[in-house]
Amino acid sequence: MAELKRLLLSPKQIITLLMLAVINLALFSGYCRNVQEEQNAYVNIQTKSLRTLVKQVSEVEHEDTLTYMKTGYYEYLDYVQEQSVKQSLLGKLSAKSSFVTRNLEKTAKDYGKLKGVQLADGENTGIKAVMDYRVTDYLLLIAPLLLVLELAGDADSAIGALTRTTKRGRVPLCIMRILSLMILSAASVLLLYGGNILYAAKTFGDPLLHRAIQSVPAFKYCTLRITVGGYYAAAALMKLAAVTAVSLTVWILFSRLYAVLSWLITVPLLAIQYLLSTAIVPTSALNHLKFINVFTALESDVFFTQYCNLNWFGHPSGIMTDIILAMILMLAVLTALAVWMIGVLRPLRAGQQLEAVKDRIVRRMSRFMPVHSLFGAEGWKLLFAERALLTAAVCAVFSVMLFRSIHFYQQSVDVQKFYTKYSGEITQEKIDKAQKMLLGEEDKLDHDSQSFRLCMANGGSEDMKNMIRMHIQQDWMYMERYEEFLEMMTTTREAAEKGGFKPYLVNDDSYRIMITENASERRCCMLLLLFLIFSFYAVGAYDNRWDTRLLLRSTRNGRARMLTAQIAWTSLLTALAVTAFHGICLFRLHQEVGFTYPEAMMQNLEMFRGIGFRTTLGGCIALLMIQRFLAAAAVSAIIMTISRCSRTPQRALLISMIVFVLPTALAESGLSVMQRFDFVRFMSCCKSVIN
Amino acid sequence: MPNKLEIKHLTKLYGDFRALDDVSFTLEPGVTGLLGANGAGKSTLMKLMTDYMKRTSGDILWNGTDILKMGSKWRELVGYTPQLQGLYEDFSARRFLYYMGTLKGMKRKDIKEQTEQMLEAVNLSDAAHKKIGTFSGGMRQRVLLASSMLGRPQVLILDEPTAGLDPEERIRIRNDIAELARDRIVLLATHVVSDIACIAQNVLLMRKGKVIAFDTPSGMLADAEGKIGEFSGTYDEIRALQKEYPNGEIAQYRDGFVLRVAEDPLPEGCRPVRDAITLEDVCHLYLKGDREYG
Repeated sequence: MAELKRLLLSPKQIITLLMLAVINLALFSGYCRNVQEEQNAYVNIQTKSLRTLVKQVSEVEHEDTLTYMKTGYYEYLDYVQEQSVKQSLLGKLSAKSSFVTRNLEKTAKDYGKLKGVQLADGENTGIKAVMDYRVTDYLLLIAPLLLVLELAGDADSAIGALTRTTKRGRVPLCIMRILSLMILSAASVLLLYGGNILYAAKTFGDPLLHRAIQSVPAFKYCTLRITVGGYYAAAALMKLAAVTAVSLTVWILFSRLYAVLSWLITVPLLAIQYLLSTAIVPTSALNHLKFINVFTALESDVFFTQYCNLNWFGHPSGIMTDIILAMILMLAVLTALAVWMIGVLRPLRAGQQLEAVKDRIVRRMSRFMPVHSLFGAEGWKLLFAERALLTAAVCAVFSVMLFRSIHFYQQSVDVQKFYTKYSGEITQEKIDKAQKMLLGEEDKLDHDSQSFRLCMANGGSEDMKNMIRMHIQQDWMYMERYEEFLEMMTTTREAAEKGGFKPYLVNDDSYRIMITENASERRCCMLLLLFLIFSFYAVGAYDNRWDTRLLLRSTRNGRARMLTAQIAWTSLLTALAVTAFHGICLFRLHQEVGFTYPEAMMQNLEMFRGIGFRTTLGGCIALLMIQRFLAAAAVSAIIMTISRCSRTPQRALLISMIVFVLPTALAESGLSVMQRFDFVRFMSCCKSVIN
Repeated sequence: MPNKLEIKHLTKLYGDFRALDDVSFTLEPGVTGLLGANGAGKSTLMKLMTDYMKRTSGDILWNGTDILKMGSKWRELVGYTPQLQGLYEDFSARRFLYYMGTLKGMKRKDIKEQTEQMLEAVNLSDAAHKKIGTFSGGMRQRVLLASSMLGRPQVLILDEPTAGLDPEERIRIRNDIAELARDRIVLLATHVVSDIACIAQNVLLMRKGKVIAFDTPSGMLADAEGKIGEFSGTYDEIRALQKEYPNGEIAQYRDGFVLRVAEDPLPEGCRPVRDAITLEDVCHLYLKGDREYG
């Protein structure tokens, strides 16, 4: 019990868990906001009469879900049974392998159990958001892995030797540590995954946990008779088993092998597992390697959203049964191995020769080590010793994931074609053309109105009336657009004559999205904030440990010059990070919406007309980036100050997280009091001089 | 004219607590040993001398110029070994020395050259590529010593530089310090009194923030004459006497046990020691009652 208490109730452990929970909440809330924006975006729907309707994505999705629940799902169940009978017959005729026949029978039997399942309408977006969000799965691994690495390190220290000389210091201690690891993993899953479920429910609405999981269209292929709540519990257990299995493996390897060999085995082992889980398709002959895999178990959704039977010597077996058996077996074997190798056996390690090889290589390389200037030396310290480079690498991986997942939506889809025709330099010719089109639309409206009156008088059919009504609606819409565009062109031309610049008609969508708060920008800013904290928390605090500052300050360059070098590096990295993270957003915005006519004066857009200074739209982007750099630099400066005032880097990290990430996460989760401490909003500069 | 470092009426207050109280002395080239119990003000004195801390009053003059006015020029002249328990764990010894070299404003060529020399001097050439985090206490101490000697400073301030070293290493380092002190000022604080006895030209004794003695070792030994004595007897007799003189040191000889005491005047029945007085005895005499001196 004392060991459980030591490992689990230590401030370090609690702080790590809370910190992970805050980071996860901050990142997941950004993702949910993105999903919400996607839901609120508009799509063009082509009707049967080839008319275009504009609808919200959420509206369309809900209509699809209702159809799926009323008829679609039950039709699918019948279809599976029909196909099974047909294929089975064909299989028997063509003398196909026994597995194929048995698989068809099993499929029919599994889906047969779902006959009569009652589907109910509810909020599905949150369930899908929790399921699709992958970052949490990897964050779940952090706390247990840190614990096992610490435990493995303990074995080499005096405390390791000391505990092994006591009566209960071997097997019982090892069992207690395994138990601690499991409890910590469970706490991690509960806090992070549970936090996501609660947050999604708060953001998107009650998912109605008692509904059958098949009510959610994404779970159409699930053959388990479980509820939504049951799915959450089963997925959490699967994640817990996967996290524990990975941690136990790492612990055993690091306890029995020297560092070089441990890393040489652990990294490829995990990488291969990950690659197998992602690269193999479910229908592949190698799908055993995909499904019996810790990373697939960690992501867990595939077992609920896909139906697949594995071929075990001609016998089909459901992937869910297989993974449950595999995880139980894996955990039992790993636990027994851990008790035997760490608790029972003497703490001898293998792979010393590799350590000697590494030592020789490092010794040789160290002779060519360059002497840096003060700037270079501080850079080396920041990047390598304080691990900013590692942070940058991790953030780079996250930013690639982010780049793939962020989207921007044009707010006025139907206006695009007008811009295609009329955007660019405003000329009299274009104005005349638009006026002509407006007159044409007015004539069309008159003509359609007359047709409608005639149809009414002659008792035309309801279909005919509806068609003419839609024509009239469209005529009105086009007329309004032409009027709007004409006005826009004339007012812009007047403003340009007055201001002495060239008049341009520019689609303002991308520029408006750029300066207004949006989920994608917020997600990039959150990543930027985390990058700044994890890169700079040690600048200063690193020198405060054991009074090292005393030694540094006794040297000629150890005061102002050292600080100047540190500030220079911090500024440089901040500038690079701002360019990279905001650049991702701007690039995506350019890809999906497009920045047009950057050479045009910003006053051509109505939203910028009141601004006192003059620059081009390209200059406006540059200006916004400079503002964002200044905001990020201010945050970096505060982090640096916190670090310089903290006794240890760990304390600086904790304070920085409390100061920046916690209020931001709380503000994001809707706590109105915290809105003014929303640092992500501050860094995105959406309330900047420009707008 | 030899360099001179004058400390004049130096006082340092922490709130109401007087860490240093009107301390005055002058250092010239050679080793000056600094002895005193924990809390005597040694580290505070060193922090003021390296300009790490602001003094409350008094002056520190380098050849007549206040070190505060000299700023970074003063720090260019100083090499300092603090009493640290840790260093940059992720740096290799060589990397750390390169880093300290850049902080000292040395030229790249000199850094590379002197780093190898210093690593050789402190016997760390073979471990120079290893991370400091893997070093023992003694090895860390040697890295610090090497770093303080980089740039060949005019003033070396060494706070327990031989702590944690094995006897052979200690003698080697001690000899190196003596060699370095031929043309520079070295202030050496240590718990190992024998180190000071071997190489120090002067000894500075501190107690409760004050300098209680500043003299050559021979002067101090002469001053202690007639104040160091021994009681002889059986073990039980000696143990009983030690209750009266708790700072007395028990020693065992062929003909029995003795209790060596430092008292002024010597108590009755105590045989004065004439020729074999050591600096350790001097410390007993001046610093008795303090928890720990050095």
